[in-house]
Amino acid sequence: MIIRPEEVSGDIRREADVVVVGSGAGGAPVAKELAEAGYRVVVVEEGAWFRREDFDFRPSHALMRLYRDAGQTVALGLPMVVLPQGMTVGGTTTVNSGTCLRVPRHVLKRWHMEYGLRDITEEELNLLYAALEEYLFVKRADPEVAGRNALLFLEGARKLGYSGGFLPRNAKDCEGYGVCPYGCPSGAKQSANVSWIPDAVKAGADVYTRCRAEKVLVRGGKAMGIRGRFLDQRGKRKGYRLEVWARVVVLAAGALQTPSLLIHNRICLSSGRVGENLSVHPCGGTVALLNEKTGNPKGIPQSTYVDEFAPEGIMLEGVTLPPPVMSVSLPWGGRRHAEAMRLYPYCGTFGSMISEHDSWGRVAAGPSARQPLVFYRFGPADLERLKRSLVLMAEIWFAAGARRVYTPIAGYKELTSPRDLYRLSRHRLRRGEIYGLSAYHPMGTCCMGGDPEWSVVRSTGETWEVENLYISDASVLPTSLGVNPQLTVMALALRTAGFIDERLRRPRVPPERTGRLAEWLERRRSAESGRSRAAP
Amino acid sequence: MREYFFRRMKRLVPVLLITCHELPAADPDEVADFCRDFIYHGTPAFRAVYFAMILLLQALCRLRRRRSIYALRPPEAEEFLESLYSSRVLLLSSVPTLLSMPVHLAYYGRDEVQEALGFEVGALREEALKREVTR
Ligand SMILES: Cc1cc2nc3c(=O)[nH]c(=O)nc-3n(C[C@H](O)[C@H](O)[C@H](O)COP(=O)(O)OP(=O)(O)OC[C@H]3O[C@@H](n4cnc5c(N)ncnc54)[C@H](O)[C@@H]3O)c2cc1C
Ligand code: SF4
Repeated sequence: MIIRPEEVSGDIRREADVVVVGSGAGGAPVAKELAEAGYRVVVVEEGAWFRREDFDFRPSHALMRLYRDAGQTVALGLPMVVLPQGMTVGGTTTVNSGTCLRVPRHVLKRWHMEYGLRDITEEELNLLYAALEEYLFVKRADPEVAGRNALLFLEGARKLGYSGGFLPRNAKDCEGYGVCPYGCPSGAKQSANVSWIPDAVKAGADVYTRCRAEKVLVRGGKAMGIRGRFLDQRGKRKGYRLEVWARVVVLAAGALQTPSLLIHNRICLSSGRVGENLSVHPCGGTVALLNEKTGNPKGIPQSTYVDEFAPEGIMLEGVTLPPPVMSVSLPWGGRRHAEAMRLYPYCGTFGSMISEHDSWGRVAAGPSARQPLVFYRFGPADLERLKRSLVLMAEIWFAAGARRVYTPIAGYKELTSPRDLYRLSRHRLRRGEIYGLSAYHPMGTCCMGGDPEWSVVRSTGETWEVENLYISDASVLPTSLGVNPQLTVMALALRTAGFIDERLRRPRVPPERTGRLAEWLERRRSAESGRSRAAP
Repeated sequence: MREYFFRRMKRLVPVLLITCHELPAADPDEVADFCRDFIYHGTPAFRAVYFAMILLLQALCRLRRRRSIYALRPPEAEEFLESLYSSRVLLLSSVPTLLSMPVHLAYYGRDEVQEALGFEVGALREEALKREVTR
């Protein structure tokens, strides 16, 4: 059942087998898997519950209803980086672009070699990915609805001989309405609010919405439950209390909120790694003025990519911006801004994403657990690569026929010819010269690893310090992924669900029983080998 | 205190919002109401910085133009803001940029404006309502 604060008429104290804090990419799969395995599952979600009919093509309003702090979360530093976070049932998956990519092999290798995570094997991950892709209807974006903007950029890239293509996405019968980050109005995008959570509810899970978990109840080194508070319409802490006593607690509040919860509860802090090791995949964006209408933002917002520079840690991925969002992304103000907005129908947009090498970030205690302080410092090499990504996008736009390209770099806000690119390429960018940066993939702040000295959770997802306390969200990813993370967060969540299942079975079943995940993997393995035998 | 700032913000809307004449006219009350909601839903830090920027804008105007920003004629106000936008000092250019952010979100988020710019939100909304994708 999905329970809203309005339906609650007093403090609630209840028991469950598993309580999951957060209903996003990390929490929702755990809830569904364990509910289907027959456990009593309670999900506590700070955001509100919306149906697809509530998603109304109004990005400005969606920012206030679906995003934490109206999308104003920032990482402090020079330049500041805006870090929007979903806060609704389904977490950030409800507002994400739906791109589903597997972890690159070299990244997994690094996890094995440097983080002691050899037991997360490529074979096991691939099986999990395959299951996820089937469950979430993942397929390449359909060129028919990819949008003119994306096709033009891809054409430009092809002229220059750069490799690229259509991104795999978790959308079924997508019509290309162009508003994925503001809630998919047709239910095509298989975000957790239309997939994992309804299935978890069908299997008996209870989801408390607009309820913030504040306290992790720990007795004798074991997690015993959580205490939370229902929130009013504005997100203020005014309602009744919720107390859930459970055999297992899963924190899945995201890479900024999970460490903040741990810090405020003063648990799992002895490695000194909680909140450290933040990576975000900083993003840059370009706007191009073209001779033809781009039809923006209609079409899939993120349908194409150029991966020619992926070995350098630069990934170019599509993005379209509806008028209100474009209006706050332009590097101009006043009359110039109005003029640029008038030409909106002729504007093309594309984004870049950097996987970090020498930048670092951290989440620290803020005035309250809800408001952690986030710091991010660009390293010179990453800053240079960010600039390079902007130059590359501008080059591609010019090849696609752009008249002008706007960038967020002071002194280079408007590039009018490829000659400007050489100037910009040679310019040594300083931190204060670039602005309007954003990032969408915070991760790594409760790093998974093979040693309690320098990691927060084991490879099973359980914390080293508190028994029965698991973490299942982007905070466990040990390094920057270089690709969009949701599929990997979900794969690790399924893995963690398997280990939780094992733990919960332990007192009741003989030790040789290995848990649902292992059984399921076994079934999958035999199905796969049957399929390959059947292939000619 | 907050009311004081919201009143000031409302008076600033016509100064901050410059639109081209092909687009629908702005309704300053509607824009100001949206800004108020947006700021309420945001972080306390954003709220504090936003209010500080209102004061800073006023102080800069008094310093440079010897008058309150509300007393400037529209072309003068526009010229004054342009001088801030184009400043090389990050703090100065941030003042109007930050102040106009919710104003732009409000105005360009209106259905009629989105539609005038080619994004047919009304028609798409109706189409999407009829077209439910089930798993
Ligand atoms: C605009 C945007 C586009 C993106 N596009 C893509 C994409 O195309 N592909 C991709 O792979 N990734 C994308 N991402 C990133 C991806 O969605 C996230 O990496 C992923 O959802 C992270 O999962 P999570 O479980 O860590 O956190 P989330 O999905 O954010 O879930 C955390 C949940 O916990 C809740 N919560 C937090 N604190 C509490 C508390 N104390 N009590 C109760 N509940 C709490 C939050 O409200 C939230 O619902 C995008 C992100 C954004 C912002
Ligand atoms: S493009 Fe439109 S229909 Fe497709 S997933 Fe995004 S919001 Fe849904």
